[in-house]
Amino acid sequence: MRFVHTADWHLGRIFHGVSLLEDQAHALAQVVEIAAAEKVDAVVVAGDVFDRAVPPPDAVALLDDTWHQLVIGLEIPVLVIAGNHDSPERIELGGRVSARAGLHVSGALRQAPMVVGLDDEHGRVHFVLLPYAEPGVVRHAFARARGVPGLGSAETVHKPGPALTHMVRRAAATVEGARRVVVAHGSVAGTAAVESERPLSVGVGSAAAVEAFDGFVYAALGHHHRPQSLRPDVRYPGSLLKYSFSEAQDQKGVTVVEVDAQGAVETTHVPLTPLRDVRIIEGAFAALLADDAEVGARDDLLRIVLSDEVPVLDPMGRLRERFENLLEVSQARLARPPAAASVPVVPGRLSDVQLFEAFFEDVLGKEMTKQQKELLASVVERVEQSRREAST
Amino acid sequence: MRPVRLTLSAFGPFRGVVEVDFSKVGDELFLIHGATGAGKSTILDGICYALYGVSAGGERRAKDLRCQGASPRSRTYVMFEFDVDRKRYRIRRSPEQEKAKARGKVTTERAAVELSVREGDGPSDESQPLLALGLESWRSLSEKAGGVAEHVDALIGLDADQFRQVVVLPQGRFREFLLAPSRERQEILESLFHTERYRNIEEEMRRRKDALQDALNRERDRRAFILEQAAVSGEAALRQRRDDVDARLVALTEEQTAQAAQLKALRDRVAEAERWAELHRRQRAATAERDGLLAEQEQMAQKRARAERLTRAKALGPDLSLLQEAERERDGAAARAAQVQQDCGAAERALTAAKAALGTDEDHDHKRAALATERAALAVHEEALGKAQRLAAEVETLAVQAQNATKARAAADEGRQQAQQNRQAADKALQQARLDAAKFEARRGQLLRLLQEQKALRRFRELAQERSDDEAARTKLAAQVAETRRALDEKRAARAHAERVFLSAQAAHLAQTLEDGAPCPVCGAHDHPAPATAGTEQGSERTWRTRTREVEQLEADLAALTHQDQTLSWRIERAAEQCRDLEEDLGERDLTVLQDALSKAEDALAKAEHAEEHLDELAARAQQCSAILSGAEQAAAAAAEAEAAARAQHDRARGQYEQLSQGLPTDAAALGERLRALDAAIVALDHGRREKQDAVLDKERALAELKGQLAQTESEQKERTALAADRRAALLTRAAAEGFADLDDLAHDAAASGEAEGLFAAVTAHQERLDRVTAETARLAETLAEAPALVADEEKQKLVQLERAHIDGARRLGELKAEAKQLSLWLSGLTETEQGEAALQDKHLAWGELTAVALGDNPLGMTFQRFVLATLLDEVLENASRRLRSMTRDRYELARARSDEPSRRRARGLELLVFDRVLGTERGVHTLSGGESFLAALALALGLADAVSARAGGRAMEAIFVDEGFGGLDPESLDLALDALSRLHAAGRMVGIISHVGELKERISTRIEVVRTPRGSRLSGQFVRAA
Repeated sequence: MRFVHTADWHLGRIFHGVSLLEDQAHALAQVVEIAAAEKVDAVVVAGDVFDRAVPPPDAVALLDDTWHQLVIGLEIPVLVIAGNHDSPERIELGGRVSARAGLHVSGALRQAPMVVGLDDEHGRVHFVLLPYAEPGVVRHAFARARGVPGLGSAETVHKPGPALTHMVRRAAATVEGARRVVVAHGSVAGTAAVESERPLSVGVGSAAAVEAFDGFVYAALGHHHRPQSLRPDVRYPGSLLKYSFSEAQDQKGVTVVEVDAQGAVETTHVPLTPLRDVRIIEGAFAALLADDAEVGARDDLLRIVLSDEVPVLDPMGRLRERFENLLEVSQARLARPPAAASVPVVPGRLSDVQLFEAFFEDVLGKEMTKQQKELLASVVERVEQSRREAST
Repeated sequence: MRPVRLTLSAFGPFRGVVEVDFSKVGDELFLIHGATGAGKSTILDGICYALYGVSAGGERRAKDLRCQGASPRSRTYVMFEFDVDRKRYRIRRSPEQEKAKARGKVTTERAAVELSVREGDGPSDESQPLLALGLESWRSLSEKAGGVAEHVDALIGLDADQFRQVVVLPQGRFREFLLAPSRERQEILESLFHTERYRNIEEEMRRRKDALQDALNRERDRRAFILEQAAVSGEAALRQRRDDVDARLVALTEEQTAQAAQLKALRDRVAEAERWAELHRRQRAATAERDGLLAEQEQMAQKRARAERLTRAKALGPDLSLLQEAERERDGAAARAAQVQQDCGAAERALTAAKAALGTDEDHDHKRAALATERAALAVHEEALGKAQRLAAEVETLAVQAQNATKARAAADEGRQQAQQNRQAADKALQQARLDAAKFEARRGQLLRLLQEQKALRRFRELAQERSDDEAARTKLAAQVAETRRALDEKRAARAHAERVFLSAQAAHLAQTLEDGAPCPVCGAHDHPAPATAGTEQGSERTWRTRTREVEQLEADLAALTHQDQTLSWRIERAAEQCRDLEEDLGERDLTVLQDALSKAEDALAKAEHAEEHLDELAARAQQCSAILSGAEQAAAAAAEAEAAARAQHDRARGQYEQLSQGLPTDAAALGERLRALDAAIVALDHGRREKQDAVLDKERALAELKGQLAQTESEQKERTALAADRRAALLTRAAAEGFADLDDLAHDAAASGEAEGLFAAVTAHQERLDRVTAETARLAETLAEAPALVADEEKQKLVQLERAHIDGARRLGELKAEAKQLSLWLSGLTETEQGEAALQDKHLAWGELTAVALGDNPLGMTFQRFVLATLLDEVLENASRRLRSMTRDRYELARARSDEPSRRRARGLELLVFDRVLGTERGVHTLSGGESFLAALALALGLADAVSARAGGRAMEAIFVDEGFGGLDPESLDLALDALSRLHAAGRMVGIISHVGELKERISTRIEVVRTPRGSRLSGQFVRAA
């Protein structure tokens, strides 16, 4: 059994005000080509198909096109789950009808998971499709479910990590089959996160342990945008495109997974070529503006870090003339206009007298005389005394 | 401050009671969403109102917060539970509202508020076991608006305006901190960070400086005043004057001393002269007095004689008294005797009268006998009268009985008559019934005949109607037939035409195939001189067939109609035949007349039937009536008899009564009374007599007593008179011996005997004085023998002059002294002011700089407090900038404006700027767009909250609510803002967002939804409890 494992398409995403739809279409066309070239038996999309719950219309149209090409054009079954960016109910519109054609969408969480069985020459491989669900939804769905030995009650699930664990383990216990693949969306401990991912929660409990996926021959995960494997059989394929400047060094692509008769898996990362790359360029302002600057494709989505020491006037405007998709400009050593030198005054840690002394020096530039210090002390004491009197 | 639970009743758009349980929200970021106007901001209003009595945005007044559509019985109130420092508090507040009472009256319920604290939260609190059981007990802290406001201030540390800057960021308003002028920002910061101590220091400095200044001024004024008063230009002149005065003073003092000595000597001389003059005077006086006294000596002797006489009279006094007493007693006894005499006389008279009244025995017996006789006679009458009355009663009874008997007889007669009548009637009825029954059969035959006639007539009518209907139908049918025929002719023609056309078309068609020389398929001819041409019409086989069908159809129709017509005509003929038959039978008959006869016959028949049935009944009735009649006749006879008997009895009794009652008085009552009166009179008479006898005896006894008394008093009187005469004689003798002419004289003098002492004293005094004066005169004569010759007056004059001069001198001396003193005072005053000024000057210098700096008179133009605030603001801005950078993708930072031109008029040092890191420039915060300023304001509010909680003196704000503003953000910025807020709540703060933006509903799963219905709004969600 051979299938394409991809995830985190985020169709419709806006990146620093620029719509990435064309780039996404370019990437998806490559995905379809790869699926055809590798002659895969299925395409698995592990969540975050859209970027937001109500996606823009052209993103919807792009997805519709893609499904059509895969399911009707190439006759390859497509297995999709909803991610934390998708609206579960909306994404599975027409799901029961489309399932007959080969497009299986698991959107809203149900007590019995959606299982799609695909056959190869060795038998059947069961794909368990677990959509992303909030802890509250997980609790509600399994509130009256049959207990599973070794698995606690769903009542205790309050964080995304335990929620994912609970769903996966329950599926492992209830779904039959020799060769089972689980498709899920969430965070597993030990992964690297980037800033373009929407955090599921903050702090402890946001991730599941990788051992939760024991019992499945392969775990096709989604959510983290950087392609990475925690184990040979537990992998994130990475997002379709680079969605933040912290991913500028990633190599984006899809994963082709091969499952043999015994259930051993082999994964291959197939890279995608973007229409416009996301890059960070450093350099001096004048150098960058020069015609012969070696800066790569000028229409890439760029962040430029200027190394100049002096402030530059309107860097964005002038650089934009050369780099049409320049998104961010910053200067490494940019300082604000000279401020008055002052003692770092932290009011809470200095006494009133010290504060005044600091103020005096700051304002007049000289120290107080002894006599003045005595006078100040008497004033402060008087004020303190009357405050005490007033409060009794 | 961490919200726990909020309950709203009839508040804003919420008609009923809604409750939000914040404790269940836990650590989630939560969303309050709903349509516009549903009431999302009302939840924040509720919190603000509960704590401060104002709405969150300030634009809704507290009175307007009551739900407009709520039932008059529901009360508007807000209850807010919250935790501060691990203790739980609860505020319940309600506005002034109208309350409908049961009977339609409306009263105004005043605004009320109450703050309570829950007991059992402290470690050693007694009610902790209650908490463990789930029971809460609350202790009220204050129920007055002022008290609650104080507590809230102490607990939360913010007033309403600040709360709305830092905790509840109300719709469209929380940009205020960002955009506010520096003065307002300063106020907010002051109150948040309690920087008034620095202001106090400033003020104290100012106070001291001012005090110094005042003191200095006072010294200067004093100096000027002194110099003015002294009317000198300077101190030196003053000194000079003082020295002058001192010299003059010394000279004058010497002069005065010399004068004083002179004065003393002169005074001595004058004193001595006066002494001698005095002695002479005294001598003259003494001599005069002595002479006067000698002249009075004779008078004195007379006085003495009188005094002696008085003394003698006094000695006889007691005897005189005794005499007087005896005479008094004598008079008394005489008076008593006379009185007793009088009493005797009166008693005698009384006795005589009583005897007269008694009268003689004879009179009495006579009277009594007369009364007794009369009484006996009347008693006899009384008895007879009683009998007569009884008889009268009997007569009456009998009369009544007689009347009753008469009535009974009359009734019996009537009864008999009635019975007779009844029987006659019954007989008559019986006869009639018999007659009627006989007629029955005849009537029945008649009835049957009439019925038959009626039936025949009806049938005739029917037939006639049928016939006319059929004829009408027939006429119509004829018209149809004609119509159909016509149509048929037409269609036939059309068909023929169509056939022709078709054929000619065929022919033409065929003709086209004709070739010269080829045989025609129809006729075989080889020549075709006139080939058929198609007509102008299009023909077709179809048309022809259609027409043929139509024709056939019409023919069929025609046949049907004709058949119908035949049927009708046959029917009509038959009906006519039947009519003719009937007519023969009936002749001329009218249905109405027939109907009447019919009904009459029916009635008669009925009556006859009825009569036969009741024949027997009537016979029986007749017999009954006869029986009754005989009974009634008997009764009548009996009644007549009874009547006669009663009348006879009555007459008899009446005769007896009249006989008896002759000669009797009629009035029994008067008789009875008279008898009783007589009895009473007899008794009275006896009683009177006894009384009179008793009176006489009494009077006799009294008289005897009085006579005895009289004898006694007369003897007493005689005794007393003798005693008095004796005494008088004795006294007269003695008085004559002492020299008193008579007793009156004696008495007079005895009374005046008190004077004697006084007279004796006067005489003695006179003598003593005389002796003394004589002695003094002698003495003085001796002394005056050696008198010098001094003339007092001359010496006195000299003295007076010298004295005057001395006094003058003393006065001048005094004036000079005063002047010297004044000058010294002034001089010393001047010295003091000099010293004082010098001292103050030093201090002033030292203070001047200090206070100037503190109060803002420095190059930066900042006061001390503002400096501290600026530093605080820097800290806040650092926090805020961090957040803002992450929310705007590192583009914007917030900074404080540095003052480069000192100007004291504007509040300096607290103005905010936005630093654009992309462009590297600073600009004012007003230049940010709506969405950008939302992010900046949010960052600022969060920065403020951070700084406040990091302070020791600040309060920890554990919650923040953001009301709207997200609608102005593009999707990416929305993500960034939500990320920033999520990080907040990760740090342990409750973050609540109010927004109608739909996207947020998808992203935030912890939600409270505000639903707007025509009946008011309601809340739904996991944290809502609907009451």
